[in-house]
Amino acid sequence: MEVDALSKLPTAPQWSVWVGDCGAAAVVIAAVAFTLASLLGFAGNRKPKLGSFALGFFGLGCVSLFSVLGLLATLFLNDRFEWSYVRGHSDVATSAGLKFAAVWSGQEGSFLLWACCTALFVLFSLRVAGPYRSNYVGVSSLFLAAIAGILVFESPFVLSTIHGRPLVPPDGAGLAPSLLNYWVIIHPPTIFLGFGSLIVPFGLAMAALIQKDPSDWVQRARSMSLISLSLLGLGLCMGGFWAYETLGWGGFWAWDPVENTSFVPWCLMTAFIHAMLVQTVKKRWVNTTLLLGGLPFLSFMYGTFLTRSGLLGDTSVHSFAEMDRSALRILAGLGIICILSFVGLLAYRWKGFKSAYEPSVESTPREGLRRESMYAFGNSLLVIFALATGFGMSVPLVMSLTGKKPRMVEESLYHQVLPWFFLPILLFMALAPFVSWNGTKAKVAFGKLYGPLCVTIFIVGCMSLVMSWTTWAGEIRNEGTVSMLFGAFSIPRIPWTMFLAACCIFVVVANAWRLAAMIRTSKLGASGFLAHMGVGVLMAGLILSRGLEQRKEVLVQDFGQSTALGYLLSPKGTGDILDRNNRVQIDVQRLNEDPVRFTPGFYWRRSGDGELNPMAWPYVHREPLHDVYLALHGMEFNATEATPMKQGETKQFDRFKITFDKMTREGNPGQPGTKFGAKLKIVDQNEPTDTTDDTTFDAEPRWVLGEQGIEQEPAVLGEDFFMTIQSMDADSQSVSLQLHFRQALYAVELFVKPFTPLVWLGTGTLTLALLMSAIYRRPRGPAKRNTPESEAVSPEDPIAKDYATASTAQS
Amino acid sequence: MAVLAVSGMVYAFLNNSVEYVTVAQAKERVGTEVHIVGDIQKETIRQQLQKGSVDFLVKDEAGDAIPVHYQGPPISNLGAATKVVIIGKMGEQYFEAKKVLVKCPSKYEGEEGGKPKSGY
Repeated sequence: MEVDALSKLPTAPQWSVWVGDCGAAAVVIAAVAFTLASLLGFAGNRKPKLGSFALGFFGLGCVSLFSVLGLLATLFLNDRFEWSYVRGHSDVATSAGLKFAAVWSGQEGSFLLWACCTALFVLFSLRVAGPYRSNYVGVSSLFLAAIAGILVFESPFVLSTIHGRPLVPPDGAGLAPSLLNYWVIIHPPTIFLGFGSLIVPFGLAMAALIQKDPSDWVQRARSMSLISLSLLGLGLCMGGFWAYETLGWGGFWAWDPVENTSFVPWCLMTAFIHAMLVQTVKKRWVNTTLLLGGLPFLSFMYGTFLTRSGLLGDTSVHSFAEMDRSALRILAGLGIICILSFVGLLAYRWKGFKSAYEPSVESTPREGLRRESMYAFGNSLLVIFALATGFGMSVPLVMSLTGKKPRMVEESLYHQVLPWFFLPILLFMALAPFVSWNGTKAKVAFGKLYGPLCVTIFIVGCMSLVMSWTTWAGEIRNEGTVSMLFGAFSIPRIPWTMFLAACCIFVVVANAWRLAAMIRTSKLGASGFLAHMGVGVLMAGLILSRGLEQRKEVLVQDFGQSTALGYLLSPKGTGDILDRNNRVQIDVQRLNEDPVRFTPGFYWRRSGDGELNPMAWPYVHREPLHDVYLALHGMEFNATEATPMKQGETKQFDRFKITFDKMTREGNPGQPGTKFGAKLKIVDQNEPTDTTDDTTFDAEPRWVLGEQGIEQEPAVLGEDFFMTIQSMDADSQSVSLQLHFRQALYAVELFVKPFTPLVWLGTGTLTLALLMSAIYRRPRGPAKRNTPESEAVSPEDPIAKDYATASTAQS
Repeated sequence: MAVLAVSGMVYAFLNNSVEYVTVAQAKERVGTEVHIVGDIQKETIRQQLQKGSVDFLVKDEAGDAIPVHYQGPPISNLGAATKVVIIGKMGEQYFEAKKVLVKCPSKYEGEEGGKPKSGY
């Protein structure tokens, strides 16, 4: 923009500058308050008075942090584009809901959201922290102080000034098109609540380590950890749904580093939840539980650092902006301090805790399989699974640390490595519910799986029948193979998919079996089995939806027809293709069924440099047992490229053989209304199967000199095409011609994805089950401190009671 | 056993990961699958619906350019891309990409084109 035009821009109103300055100040206040809260918190364990000061400063920090969010949202909702962060992530046309979501659409905002969610969980868990409160506040405030510190350097409150004045640009850059979706409103808050909640087990474990008292932190962390697992799981699934509904490649999950960063804590949190059971019921695994309580948070810190530091280079499709160096140093420093202090303290206390808090003699008779060893195996597998995922995403870093060239782990490699751990995990998920704490003979336990196995075979058989009888599944052909043992051999795709799905269904059936027996004695107590069922259904859905998918790419012209996978596609036109809400209308019809109107999104987006780029959104049509997924990959009006022709030359344009006869002129050059044309002789060549003669005709596309410049006067060729002149050179008597379609041609990719609704069902079941479990394990009554003695397995302990009942029933 | 499992996993990942190479290196390894990261030369993009192909030039950090041919539907949002990761093999004249990963200038989310694969 010219300096003149710039100076005409309005100056930012005083209130806006004030709001932003307040926000920036609140960030600093939060950083200072949390630092003080942290120092006082650690000191407060010895001097309770200091502890209450720590709480005060922590409260001040939280208020500042939440007001930062509020102030930033105010700037977004009022289109204050003089603030760089607002201008970069919003525009006038964005709806209010999306403007609010734009707050967390950038690097700065996502750190802010992380901090706010963490603060919220710390606030909610202050009461339940009981005797650990002071150190807990110390640990969590240290973390929040660091994030606030990051926000000081990565500030969302940067005023863009021109000649020292805060001028208001007319519009912002807007949200990235892939974010213009309702998922951006709900997915980040959900998953960040999940990330924020990781502080609860970490903070309490750390406090227990500092205080040399691991006796009852587990009871205090239990309910929040279950909520945490539920939110993380829900957030992960939402991320998958978002990808499925917007990216157009037809899948949910791709083992991208950013996805892995959230998945690894989920795995470790799951291991922690199971370890808590052992510590509660058996008073064992004191150190392991501490370790597993800290790991989800630490792994997330590591993942965040890895994905945002730029160390992964270009191996992730999630492109985060490069972080400010100072902010990155704070993040790295925080991570190193957390990991070193946690691991160091744990190692230091390990022996003492083991002798003081774990029964020295095995009190239960060793007989057959025991629940505890089931958890030990299951948890080891979960941790290795998490480790494998984490290692996979760290490969580029590992390679560069060893001085080698960066390498990338492809999605397919995860598919080859992870089943080695995934399948045994499924076995333990199915078997463990039938094994009692006091020991169940292996023969008995496996014998109990006989029933579920038969039901599973029956269900898989029914599914195969459904697939072969119904027409919607298209023709699920046994095409493609899956590479096994890193390319050693391959097996057909469909049987492998069905085998994996059968394993998941087996987990569902076995746990349903156990649930049916358990529900009479304890409704909420059975939620663990329901959670296993949720995981089984979810995984079965993901595996079947991807493994059995049918895919076909076709070209179809507007108001024409094409067939794909047994569906007839007939596009019915599009609206304004420059409007970002534009949808293309396509009727999709199966034989003997009514057509269904699909409306995939498509528009041409004008980028910063004025170029037009196509943007597309898939359309998902949901049926009870499958999804029909249509991705529009492009819209084309050009049948050929612009082709230069000299006088007398003949060239092939699609089915037309065209000879450029001569240039024509009507009127005087320079005068409006003058027409320049290219006289063409055209032979319309029929299909080889058509026996009638080729038709020959003349045509003359022209340029008309108008008031506004040159206007095209195309020549119509047959029913489907028209021709334009792209350039003209009178000196050499040559033109360049281009053939166009009269109706747009679409590149369409159609997917039929069987059993996709299971993904939704599984997500819902898992989330619900974990929330039920959190209610069941909620801390009851005032959080009073339990002595190790009162923590012994007693009939009052609900978990112990459940399992006591369970084991008596089995013995 | 756990040690065995972990070391097996580490070996599997390291041994089967795919290399990132420069254009010059890719030209030396005709026929092996490689990844190249580079800036896409926007003005060279030719998305041809009817042929079902996409062609463009990619310039790597060293400034070497390579013509890329991708057989498949047009890649969504390719025009908005700043950087691309191309995965495939070097042919005789051009790079035959089997996958094209698109990185958009957006801060938060990336975007993805090409054959079924990745994205968030």
